[in-house]
Amino acid sequence: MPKVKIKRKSTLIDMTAMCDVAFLLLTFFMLTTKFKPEEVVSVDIPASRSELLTPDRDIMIISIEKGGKAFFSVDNQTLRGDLLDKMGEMYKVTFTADQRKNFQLTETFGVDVRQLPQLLTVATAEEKRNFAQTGVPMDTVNNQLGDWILEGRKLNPKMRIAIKGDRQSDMPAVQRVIEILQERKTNKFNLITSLKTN
Amino acid sequence: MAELDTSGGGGKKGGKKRSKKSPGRVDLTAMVDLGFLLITFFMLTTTFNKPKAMDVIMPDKTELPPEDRPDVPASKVISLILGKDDKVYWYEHVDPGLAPQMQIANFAEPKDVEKVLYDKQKIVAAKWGDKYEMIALIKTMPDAKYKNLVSILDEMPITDTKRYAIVDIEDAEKEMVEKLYADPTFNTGATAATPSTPK
Repeated sequence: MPKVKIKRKSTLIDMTAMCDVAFLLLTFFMLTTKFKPEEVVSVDIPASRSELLTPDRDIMIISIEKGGKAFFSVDNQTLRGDLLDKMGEMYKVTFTADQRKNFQLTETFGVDVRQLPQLLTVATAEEKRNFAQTGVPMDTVNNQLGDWILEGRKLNPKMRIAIKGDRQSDMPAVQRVIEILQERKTNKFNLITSLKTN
Repeated sequence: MAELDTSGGGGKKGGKKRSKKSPGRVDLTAMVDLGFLLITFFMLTTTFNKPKAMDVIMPDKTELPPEDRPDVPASKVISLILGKDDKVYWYEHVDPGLAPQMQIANFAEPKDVEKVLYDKQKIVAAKWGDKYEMIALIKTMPDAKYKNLVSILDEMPITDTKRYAIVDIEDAEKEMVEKLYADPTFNTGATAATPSTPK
């Protein structure tokens, strides 16, 4: 009877493939990560137990900072350009091609339409940050925020609207924004919150 | 075999066996470890802290003619008025002629506001047979903070309140709350249990 020979196998495994996979995934994750866009306005959002995710697309966000100033942002770059054309037409402000392009890259802004050319001509990001943004006017006489919302919704009827308010902002400012939405027959909107952890 | 083979092919037939110039294999274990560590790190840091959204549906502003307005018995309704310092001034609606009893609940205390809603639900359920008959009206004082609005809207699904609305505050209510602001004895009591009668 022949002796059964147990072949001694090497315990070493070829790691090359595993290494490849690991780095492939790593590259993938790094490239798909969306960096937090630079914020013109710092808003400390309140917490709630709602677990609904904020939609990424087709969304207009109205930020209300602590002092009650309103800032406006739209997600889509092409739409942003069209929206600027419409608003320029309405308020008799003309924008150069450069300014229009710059506006498409501006995530959030909070100035009067008539001040927009100034904001859009400043050269560096540094200067842009230091530009004193006074908030989009939303009083009854000069209700530009309402026009932005209305025109935005006209351009994309699927557009959703979200209010991103600061914890400490006073209610009258928030109520004014809600009122503007209601005047434009937008009775359904979102409040952006962070998840309460406890 | 956890190494990269760099010795290069099988070698030519009949070729002379040469002495190796370099260590032929590199140990990749540490590199794989590092790769996965980074992946874990990125996965954990990216998906978190995505902002959440809360649905709000406002009542339509179009004024209905008086005859089309639904009649709501006062005993189903509770008004929650957001005031300053995280306080909620609330009262149950009573039939005309009676003075409503204003009370205070505090967001700083856990479950305080919830309790108000649960209590009212019980009362409504006892009287009308269904707790969903309760209607909560949310009103705000000008000095209320936005976070309180979010908190109170958050309480609605928690307490399973189906019928609620954000409405404008009435002048009479504003006056009542302002009177309470001035009344130090009332303000000290954090809970709704404080016995006091507003004028």
